[in-house]
Amino acid sequence: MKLKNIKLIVELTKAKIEILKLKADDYTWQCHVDSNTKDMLEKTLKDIDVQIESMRKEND
Amino acid sequence: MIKTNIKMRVTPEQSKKVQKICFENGATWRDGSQKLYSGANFMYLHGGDILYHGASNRIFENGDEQEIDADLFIRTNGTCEEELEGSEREEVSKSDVTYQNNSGERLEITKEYKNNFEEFGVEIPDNIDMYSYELKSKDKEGNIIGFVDGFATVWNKDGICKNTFAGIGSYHLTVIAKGWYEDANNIGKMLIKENSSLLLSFLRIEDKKLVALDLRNGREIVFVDKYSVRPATREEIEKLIIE
Repeated sequence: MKLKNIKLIVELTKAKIEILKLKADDYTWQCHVDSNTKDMLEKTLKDIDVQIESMRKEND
Repeated sequence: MIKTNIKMRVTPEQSKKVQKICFENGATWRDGSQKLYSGANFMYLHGGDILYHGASNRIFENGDEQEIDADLFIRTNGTCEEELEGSEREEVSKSDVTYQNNSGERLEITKEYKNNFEEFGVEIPDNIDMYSYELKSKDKEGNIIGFVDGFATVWNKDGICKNTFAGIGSYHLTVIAKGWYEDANNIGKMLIKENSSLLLSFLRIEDKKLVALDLRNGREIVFVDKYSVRPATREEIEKLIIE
């Protein structure tokens, strides 16, 4: 796997962790994140998963 | 009834206790469940009895909810209202008390189950539980006799408590004005708790909570709702002055 791809996967994973941490903060997620932002972050999570999966397959 | 629209900093142990109290009183997580959660640094209880756990200190600091000490929530089973326990009250009422005031005068207080304040010209509100103390020494120096749920406490006309029985000898107690809780100069002044005639001395504001001294026993009480006490009015105190 190219170093560039590895770095990108790491960065995507870090971004994913940040979103998951925000979701795990029940109060912040439920009371301080509006529904549009929630939808956008949920979609971003899926996009990250798709992107990481495709990069892994590329390098198989 | 448990207090709502509040936030608390919690340890894992406190968190479990807070959740149990909330669940026993019908509160749930947002999804309707009541499973114990142990990973939170902060707990929130909103109206409608919805419980949240939180992790962000910044969000906690900026939240509009009233901050409550978790130990107070646990100790009061969620009501956040401090009450003197019956056993402690009984312990005080069983013993006769003799003390010496700043002038060297000996005053005796003995328990007596009757309203004997009238002989001092003191009017007792109807809502006071009428077991009281008889003051053996009639003080003619303009002293103030306070009564706290039937317990007498004595201050001189300068507002200095003379009653070592209450354990507050050095606190100066005077009538204070509106906005008292925002002014550090009001420390040590006299407050009254709404609907109970409980007399208190204002000590400090700590973590946005009022800390006052219970004049019955010298113990500090933390009031989560500073508006549940107010300054005693001059009329209320003047009622207690011996002519």
